[in-house]
Amino acid sequence: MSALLAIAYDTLLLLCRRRLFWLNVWLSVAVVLTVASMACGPDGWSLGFGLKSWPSSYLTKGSPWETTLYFGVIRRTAQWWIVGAAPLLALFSMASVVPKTLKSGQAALLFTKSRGRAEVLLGRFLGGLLFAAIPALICVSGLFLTLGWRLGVWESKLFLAVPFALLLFAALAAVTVLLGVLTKSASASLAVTLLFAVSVLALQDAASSSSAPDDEGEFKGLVHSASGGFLALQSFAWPLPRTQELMEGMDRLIGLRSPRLFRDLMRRWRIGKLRVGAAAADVLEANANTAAEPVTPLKLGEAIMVTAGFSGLTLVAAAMLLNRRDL
Amino acid sequence: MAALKSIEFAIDLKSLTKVYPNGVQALNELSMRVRRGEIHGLLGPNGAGKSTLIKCLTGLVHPTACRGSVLGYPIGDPEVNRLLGYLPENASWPEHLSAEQVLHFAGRLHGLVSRERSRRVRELLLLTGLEAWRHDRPQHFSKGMRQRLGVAYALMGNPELVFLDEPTDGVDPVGRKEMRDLIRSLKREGKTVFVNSHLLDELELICDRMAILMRGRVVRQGSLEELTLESCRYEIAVAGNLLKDPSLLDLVQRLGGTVALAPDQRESHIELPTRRPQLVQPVIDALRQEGYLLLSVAPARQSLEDLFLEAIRSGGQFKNREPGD
Repeated sequence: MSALLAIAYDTLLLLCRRRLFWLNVWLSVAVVLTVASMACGPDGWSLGFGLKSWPSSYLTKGSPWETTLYFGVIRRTAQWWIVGAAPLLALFSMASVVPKTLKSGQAALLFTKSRGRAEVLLGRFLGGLLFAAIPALICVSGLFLTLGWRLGVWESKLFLAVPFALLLFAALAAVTVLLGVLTKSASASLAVTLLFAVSVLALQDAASSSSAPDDEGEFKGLVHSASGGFLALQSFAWPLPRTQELMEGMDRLIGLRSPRLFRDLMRRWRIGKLRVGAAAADVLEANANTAAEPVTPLKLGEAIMVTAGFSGLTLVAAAMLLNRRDL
Repeated sequence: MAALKSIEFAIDLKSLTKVYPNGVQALNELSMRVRRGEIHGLLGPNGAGKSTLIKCLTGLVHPTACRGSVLGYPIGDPEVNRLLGYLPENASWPEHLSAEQVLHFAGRLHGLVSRERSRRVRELLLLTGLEAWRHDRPQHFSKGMRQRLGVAYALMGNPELVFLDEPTDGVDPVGRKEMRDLIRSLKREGKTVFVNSHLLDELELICDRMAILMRGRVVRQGSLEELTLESCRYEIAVAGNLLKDPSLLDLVQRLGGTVALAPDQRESHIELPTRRPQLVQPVIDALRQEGYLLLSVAPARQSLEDLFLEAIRSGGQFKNREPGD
């Protein structure tokens, strides 16, 4: 156990020395500062700590829209930065760890001191997870403090975004580890992992849109489900990391305001800013009211299990492959 | 550890074969035994399979077929790793750690607790003379310093069996002497040291036994005396030209010896392939009888370098050079 922790800690130190780590940290700080720089006053709202302001009759200090604005922005930040881009940046650093470990000069030092190759691989993986947790924790902590400072709301549930970010990162990191063992090349493993991530998103989008209600309120899925193609799509997507469900589940667990309110706020802002006509506003509102099928706790649990299981099985496959290789 | 004490051979290999996926046969039914507590050298030309052998013994490479054990554990059993120390030929040190941190990392891998680890790190830094550079990163070290760090890394877990792959490569003469002393001190502590080196004179100075590897097989194994036993000979220097004396020439040739004339043609050198002084006596008697002046009579044996070169030239096929024995 101590050897496993030693390898994980060493991996963390190794990754924290990379320039990308600092880029990730500073970008996380920048994201937090951008959110913190938003403020509502008596006559409207401003950005950049008052550097740029927009007059508004409804988005004012103390109005319900102020809360909606913060919650909405923080939701988007969680989705796009904490769970999206920051782990992806971490993956760029992580991709070279396993191929470097397998180079003969380093493998000879490390593998002859460990009780098994799987221990080294798992240590590297855990170190990568700790590494990915750092920018996520910085960002969430910053957002937590911002929310408390601006609205007086101390929403500790925000920290739930960190395990979700790590769960999704773990799936991609496990794929990188497997490909690292397979190819011994950082660039190849990173490129294929990114391709895998895009494919998973596209596949799950196709599978979910096939079962979503259409404009007339009928299920396209009923039609599609009759065809073998849709079933194949669903079954193919089933064991893969559940990105969308996890994102939606995170929203639910964190318990921020309904996304509808935020979209409504955005619609009002667009109308006000771009002077969109009433008809267009109706269309925007109609779109805003189109809610996706909510994620039930059971579905979320399944998504967590499937994603964690995918990471675990991928790591087991990598360890099995490594055990068969000559170093 | 109690079971370990009862083991006679640190390395006991029977028919170790390694064929790489590309079809290259690196080891061919190699058999070898290394006694516990000895310093054992490994010689062989490039491509003989030395590195593959060490990698098989340390579990880095899987043998295609093998019967045998390392410290009583089957080949490839990762459990044996806690008893092994390994200095690889081209160690690639972590870029993010100082020399001291590298050793602490090795200590953690061995499961040493903080206080014990710190004590051991201090000991090893002093032992390898790296105390003054403990905060420096190995990337800034000279080749010799990196080798010394590698030895410290290998010794971190107080191993029973230490593999040293080219330990004196890049080390200056003073450092080599220190390395030799270090290896001898390991032997005094009861550890088994397995050294792979191209520096034959180094091996000659420190090894109790050695093996010569050719095309994946051990062609010779034993102590330096055992290995050069067949090359033992007597060299007799005589004033005068013996080539003009057919009766003496005939006697020397019957004993399997040779006669060579010095370039100035004033001295002759007789070489008798024997380690028995009794077999030299008839020649000495005949020389005295003929009135030749004996300049010197001395036993001689091949150097390790000569033996190694002969092994390479003969492709591992040694001829018997002791007809009289």
